[in-house]
Amino acid sequence: MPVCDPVQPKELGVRSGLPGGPSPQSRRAPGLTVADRSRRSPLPPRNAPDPGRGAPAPQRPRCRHGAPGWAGAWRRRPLPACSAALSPPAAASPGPFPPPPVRAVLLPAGNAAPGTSGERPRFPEGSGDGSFLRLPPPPWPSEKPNWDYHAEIQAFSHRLHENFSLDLLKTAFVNSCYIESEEARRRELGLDKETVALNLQDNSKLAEQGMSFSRSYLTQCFEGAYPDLPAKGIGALVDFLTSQELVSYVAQNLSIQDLTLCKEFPVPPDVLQRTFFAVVGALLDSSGPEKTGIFVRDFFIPQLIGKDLFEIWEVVNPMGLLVEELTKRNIPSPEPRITRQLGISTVLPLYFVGLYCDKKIIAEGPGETLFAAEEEAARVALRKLYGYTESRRPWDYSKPKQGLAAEKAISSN
Amino acid sequence: MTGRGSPSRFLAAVLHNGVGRYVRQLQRLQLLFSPTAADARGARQFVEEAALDFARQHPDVVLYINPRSCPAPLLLAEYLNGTVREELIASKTSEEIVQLATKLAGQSGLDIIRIRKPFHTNNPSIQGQWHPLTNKPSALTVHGPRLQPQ
Repeated sequence: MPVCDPVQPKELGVRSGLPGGPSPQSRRAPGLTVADRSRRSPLPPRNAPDPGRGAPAPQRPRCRHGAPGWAGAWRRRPLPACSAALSPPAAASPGPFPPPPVRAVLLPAGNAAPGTSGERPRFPEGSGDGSFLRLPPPPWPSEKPNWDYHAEIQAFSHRLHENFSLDLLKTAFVNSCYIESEEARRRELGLDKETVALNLQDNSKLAEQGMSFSRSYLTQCFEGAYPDLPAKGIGALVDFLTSQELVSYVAQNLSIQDLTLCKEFPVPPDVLQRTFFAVVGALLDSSGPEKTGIFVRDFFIPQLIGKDLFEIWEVVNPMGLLVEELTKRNIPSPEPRITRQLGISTVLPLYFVGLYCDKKIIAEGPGETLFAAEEEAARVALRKLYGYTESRRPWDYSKPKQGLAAEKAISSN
Repeated sequence: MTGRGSPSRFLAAVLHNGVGRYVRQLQRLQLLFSPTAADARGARQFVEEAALDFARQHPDVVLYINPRSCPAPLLLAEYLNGTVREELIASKTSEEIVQLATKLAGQSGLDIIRIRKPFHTNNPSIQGQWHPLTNKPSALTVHGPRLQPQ
């Protein structure tokens, strides 16, 4: 019997007495032709001993399964960098289906031993070291087998629970770098000038709109929520929320990089930021400022959870700022006093400094040195003054009641 | 394996999902099955009976139906954070596939590993963390004159 004959896997499984029996792939045998069947006929009958091979020979026929099909390649695609970094490979794909060549590798060594399979190796591509498994990942999701841009865009708008006008949303994903590179590519292909032009609008205008709207909306929000916070502090909060780092992080976790049309891959963070703001701008144009405000609130403000005010707003001299604030409010300047101390003669001293105004304590803070403790106490005092303590009320994410104001107006009449 | 050896994580949600609004984390679901194979019968039945309903109920998931000869019928789920999960649906009935797809649609795409605690808070202590001076009188009262109770 020739070695690479497609052998009916069921018979092989029975004959070799594998506990798992035939694997689900080999049970299928969808592509069998008549020629295959005729060649299969000289097989020995079931349960007949095969002297040439020995007992464990559950090799799948090379002709059907040796060459990796597209599905195999897709399955073997390494995960994107972020998820791969997050997870060990075993946990990343807990599906009960290991890719077939890997399974072949995991079988006992006797299976692929050259003595049992003849002169020619069973899997000429890899021979079990898995080297041919590492296919380069397809760069763009749109180049993967299943990709329907329109459906993806539609699902994107449903996912965010917003009614985008789809044309605007599609425009929001077109970056100027994409248009340039695409036109250059067409020019290289030798198309004439009229066909080279793409007639696409890029998202710079929408991005500008979205950016300015988000900034103004967030500023308004914070001014309403923290009336005591000075303009600098509010500016710092808004800058933090609209920074490239944070916006690109949010955009990545909304999978905007899959839909973005851009020149480079992976999508650089500045393009991601611009695209996300363009999505905000598209929403502004299609649903109006009220809904867009809620959108901005829902996706930006949760990022403040667990963040401290002075992590975001760098104040170099908190004591000076505190004195300034207190003089504004006609409170005498604070007096620092050591309230507690521990282990001051050791290398790990601990001081607690309290700030007293009019003999009343306004804040107390710990520190390793007196200076650090005083600064910390000033920060605590500032947080209390600004109403941005850790124990502040959580942000209200409920829907603004539109009817409420009208009802009030009606009932007062 | 002991608790320390097995991989674990804290309870978390992608982007604080659900604080502002809930975003379904499953973005693409691909159904790969062979049009002829016996173990893909349930998958074909799913396509005929339940796929449209599933797509209608989950407009935020793009469902791709891909009939072509492949080694085994598969559900490929891609999440917003980049995770790809594949589930084997060989010899599963249509109802089982619907169940599995609904389960995939509800998952977040974070690793399915042991979660250390079933709850999470950003402020573990309301009163503040304990330190050696908690509940101790301040130095000022120690060194100062004690007031006699009147």
